[in-house]
Amino acid sequence: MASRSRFPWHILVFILPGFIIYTLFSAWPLLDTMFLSLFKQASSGERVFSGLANYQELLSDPHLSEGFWNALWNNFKFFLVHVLVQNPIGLLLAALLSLKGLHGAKTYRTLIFIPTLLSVVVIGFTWQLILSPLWGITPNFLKSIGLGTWFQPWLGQEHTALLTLALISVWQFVGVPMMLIYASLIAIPDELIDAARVDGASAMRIFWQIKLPLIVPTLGLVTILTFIGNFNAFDLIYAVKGVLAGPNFSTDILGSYFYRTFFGAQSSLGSPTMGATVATVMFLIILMGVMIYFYVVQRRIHRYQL
Amino acid sequence: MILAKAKQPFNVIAVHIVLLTYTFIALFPVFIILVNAFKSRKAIFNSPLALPNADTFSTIGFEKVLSKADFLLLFGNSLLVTVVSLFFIILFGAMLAWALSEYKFTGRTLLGLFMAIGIMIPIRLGTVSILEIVVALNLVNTRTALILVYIAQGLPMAIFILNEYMSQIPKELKEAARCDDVSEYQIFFSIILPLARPAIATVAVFSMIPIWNDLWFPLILAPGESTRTVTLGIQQFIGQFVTDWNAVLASLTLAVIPILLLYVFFSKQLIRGLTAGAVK
Amino acid sequence: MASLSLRKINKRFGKVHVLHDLDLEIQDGEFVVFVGPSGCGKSTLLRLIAGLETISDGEMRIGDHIVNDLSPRERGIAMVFQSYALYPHMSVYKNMAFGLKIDGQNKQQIDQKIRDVASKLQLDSLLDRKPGQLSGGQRQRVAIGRAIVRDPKVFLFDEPLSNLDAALRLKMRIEIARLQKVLNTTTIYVTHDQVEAMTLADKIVVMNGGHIEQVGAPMELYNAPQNKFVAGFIGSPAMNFLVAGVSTDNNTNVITLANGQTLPTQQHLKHGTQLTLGIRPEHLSLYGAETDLAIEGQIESVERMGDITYIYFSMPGHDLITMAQQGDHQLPIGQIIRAYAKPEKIHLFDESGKAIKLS
Repeated sequence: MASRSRFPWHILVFILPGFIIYTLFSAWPLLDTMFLSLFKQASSGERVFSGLANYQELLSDPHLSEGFWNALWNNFKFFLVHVLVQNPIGLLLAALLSLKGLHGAKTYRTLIFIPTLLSVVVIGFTWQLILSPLWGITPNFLKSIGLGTWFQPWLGQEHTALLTLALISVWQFVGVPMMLIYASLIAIPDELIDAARVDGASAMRIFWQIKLPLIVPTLGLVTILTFIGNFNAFDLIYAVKGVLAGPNFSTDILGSYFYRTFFGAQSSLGSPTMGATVATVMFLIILMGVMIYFYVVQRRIHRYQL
Repeated sequence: MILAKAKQPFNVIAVHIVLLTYTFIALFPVFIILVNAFKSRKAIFNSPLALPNADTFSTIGFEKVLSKADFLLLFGNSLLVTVVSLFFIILFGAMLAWALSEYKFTGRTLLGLFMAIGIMIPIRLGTVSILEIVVALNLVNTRTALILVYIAQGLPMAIFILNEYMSQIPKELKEAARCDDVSEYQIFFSIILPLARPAIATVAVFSMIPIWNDLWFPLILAPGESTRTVTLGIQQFIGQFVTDWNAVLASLTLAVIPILLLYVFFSKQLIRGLTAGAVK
Repeated sequence: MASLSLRKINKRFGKVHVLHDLDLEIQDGEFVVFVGPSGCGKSTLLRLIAGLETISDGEMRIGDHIVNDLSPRERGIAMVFQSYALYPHMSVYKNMAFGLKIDGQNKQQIDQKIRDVASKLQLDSLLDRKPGQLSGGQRQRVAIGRAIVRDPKVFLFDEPLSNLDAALRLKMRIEIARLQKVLNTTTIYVTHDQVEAMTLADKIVVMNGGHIEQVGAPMELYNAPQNKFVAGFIGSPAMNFLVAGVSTDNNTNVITLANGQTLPTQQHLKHGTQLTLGIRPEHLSLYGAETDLAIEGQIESVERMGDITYIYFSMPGHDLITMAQQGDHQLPIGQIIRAYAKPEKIHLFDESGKAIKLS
C-alpha cells in the first residue's frame, strides 16, 4: 500500500489547531512573562535587560516589598482558612451525603452546590449586603439569638476583613471538595462497608478507619487544587474591596497585588515588567506546591486498588 | 429498647439536621437577594426576611437597571463567548486527545506533558504577555480575544478527560473501520466523537462555569461597553449604584437567575460530570 | 454455634416485595446452601440473616433469641463476601484483627487467635501483606480466615467462589467443605451454581422469585423434586420436559406424549389433564426394555467428551432433548434415534408445575 509511507498529515491536522491556540495564548505567554521579568521598562517604553534586578526590588525594596510580603502572608492565611474550614466541611458533607440509604441525598447535593456555580462577583456583593451594618440582616439575626453585641462590620475592619473574605470564599467553594470527596467515597465498594458492619464497626469507626484512609489521595488532590485556586484568586477581593484591597491592604493577596503592580492604582503607575515579575513569583509558588504534591503526597500515599 | 438498632448504622435525624442546616447556610444569602429584589426600598429595610406581598412588591430596581444598562447585550456577550469557546475547546480538545491516544509519533509524550502544564498552572499568570499579544493582534476589546484565551485555558483539562476516555474505546471499532478503508477523519468524526459524548458532557460542564463567571480577562482584555460580559457588567454596574439598594439587588438577581434556571435543567448532567468515573 | 429459624419472613424495598413469607429451620452445625437463579432473593435473604438489611415482616431467631433488631455483630455472625471485601489499606493481620479489636479483646488474645487461624489456613507467611499483594485464592483464604477468627455462631458465604477460576474454585470448594466439617459451625452459603450446592450442602434451599421452592438434602432434590422449577434447576444438564396428556386406553389411564406414545400409569389422573413429563438426560438410554418409555427423534448435535457423550435430538413440538450416555458414541447427525427411559425415573408435573408422585 502506497499510503503507508505517506506523511501522516491527519495527525498534524488533529494536533495543530489546539496546539497553536494553546501555545500562543497560554504556554508562550507564561514563558514570555518569565522572560519579561528580566527586563526593565524605561519611560520611553524601551525595555532593557536587567537580570534579576526586578526580583531584588520586589523582595527587598521597601516601596515594593512591603506590599509583596503583605500580600504573600495574607495569601497564606487565606489558604490556611480554606484548608482548615473548607476542606473539613466538604469532607463532613460528603461523608454524610454518601451514607447508604440516606433519603434526599441528591437534593442536598444539588442545593449545596448552587453557590459554587455563581460568579464570585455576585457572591461578593451578596455577602457585602448581608454583612452590611446598614441593612441589618446580620446584626438583627445575632440579636435574635442573643449575640447582638458580637456584631462588627467585619468586612470593614482591618483585623477581620481578610478572614471574612476567606470565609465567604469557603462558603462559595465548599461544593468542590464536597463533590470530589463524595465521588471518591461512593467509589468505595458497598461490600467493604458491609464487611466492616459485620465486623461490628459503628458508622463513626467505618468513617475514620475504613473510608478516610481510602480517600486520602482525594484529600491531597483537593488540597492542591485549593492551593492553586487560592494563590491566583483575585475576583472576590476585587469585587468586594476593589483594587486597593482595603482597608489598608489588609485583604491584599497575590492576585490583587499582581493586578495593581501591572496596571497601577491611584498614584502608583503600573509596570508590565514588574507585573511579570510578580506573576513569575506566583508561578514559582504554585509550581512549588504542585511539585510538593507530586513528589511527597503522591509518592507516599498509596492508592489502593478498590 | 433494641427496636431501631439494626435499621441504620447512623442517626438519621442528626444527619438530616446537619445537612438541612448547611443547605440553609448555602441558600440563605441567595434567597435573601432574590426575595428583596422584588420589594420596595422601605420593605427591604423594614422586613428583609419577608416575602414580597401586595404592599411591598416592587420592580423598581429592575426598571432602573434595565433602563440604564443593556442587560441583553451583556448576556449576549457572555453567551457568545461561552458557547463559542466551549465549541472549540471540545472540538480541538477532542482532536488533540485523539491524536495523543491513538497515534504513535515522535514527541507524543512530550506533547502530552506540554499540554498538561495548563492543568496545574493558571493561565492568568501569563496575563502581561497575553495582553501584549492581544494588543499586537489588534484584538483589544473584542470577544475574539476572550474566546482565544478561554480556549487555551480550557484545552488542557479537556484533553486530560477526553484522552482518558478515548483510550478506553475498544480497538476493534477503529480496526473494523480501517479495514473498510474509512479515512482517519471519518473515523474521528463519525465514530470517535459520537462515542465520546459522555466525556464531552463532562468537559462542557467543567469548562463552562469558569468561563461564564470569569472577571479577570473581561476586565483586562475586553472592558469596552459593547464587549462586556455579564460578570464584568454586574461588577461595574453595582459600583455605580452602591446606595441604590433596589438596583443592586435587581442586578444581582439578573445575574443569578439564568444560572439557576440552567441549573434546574442541567443539574443532573452537571453533577454526573463532576462525579464521573466514580458513579457505578 | 446455633440453630437458626425463620418464620414468615418478608422483605420489601419500598413497594417491591422481594421475599414472601419464608419459613426455614436450620439445625446447629448444618451446612445450608441457598441456590437459585439471579434475582431470586437468595442474596437478600442472606443479608437479612446477616443483619445488613432489615426484615420487613416476620421473625428470625438465632438459637433462642429473636434477632430481628440486632446488629450483625450482636447476632454473632461472620460473613465472607463475593469480592472478599478485604480492607485494602490494612495488612492481612489487621484485617483479621479489626473485628476482634472492636469486640474489645486484648492484644494477646487477638494475636493468639490470628496465629491459630492463620496456621489452619496456611496464611502464616502472608500476615504482613496488604490484600493488593495477594492472589485471588489467597484473598479468598484471608476472607475466610477473617470470618473464622471471629468464632461466629453462624457463617455466611455470599457466592464466595464466583471470582475464582475453575481450578481454584474446585480447590476452595473442597477446602470450605473440609473447614466446615472441622469447625462444625452452622453455615449458610449462597450460590447460583448448583454444582456447589450439590457438593457442599447438607441441606439445599432452592429459591425462585422470592419464594422457597423446596428444602431438602441434595439427593432428595435430585430424586424427588417437588416441582418443575426444582427439577429443572437441580441436575446438569437440565432435565428434559415433554408435553403430555392423559387418555384412557382399555379402561386404564395412560399418559400420552405429543407424538402418540403412551405410558401406563396407576395414578388416578383425570382424562384430559395436561401434564409435563420430565426425564433427566442421564436417565435416557439408547437401549431399553419393552416396558420403558421410548421416544424418537432426529439427532441434531453430538458432543463427545470421551467419558460421556451428549446427544441432542429434536422431537416435533419440543425443545431439543438432551441425552447423556456414558462412554463414547459416534452417531451421525440427522439419524433418527430412539431413547428409552425407565418408568421409575420419570417425573410428572401437573399444570401448575407441582410434582405428581408416581406410585
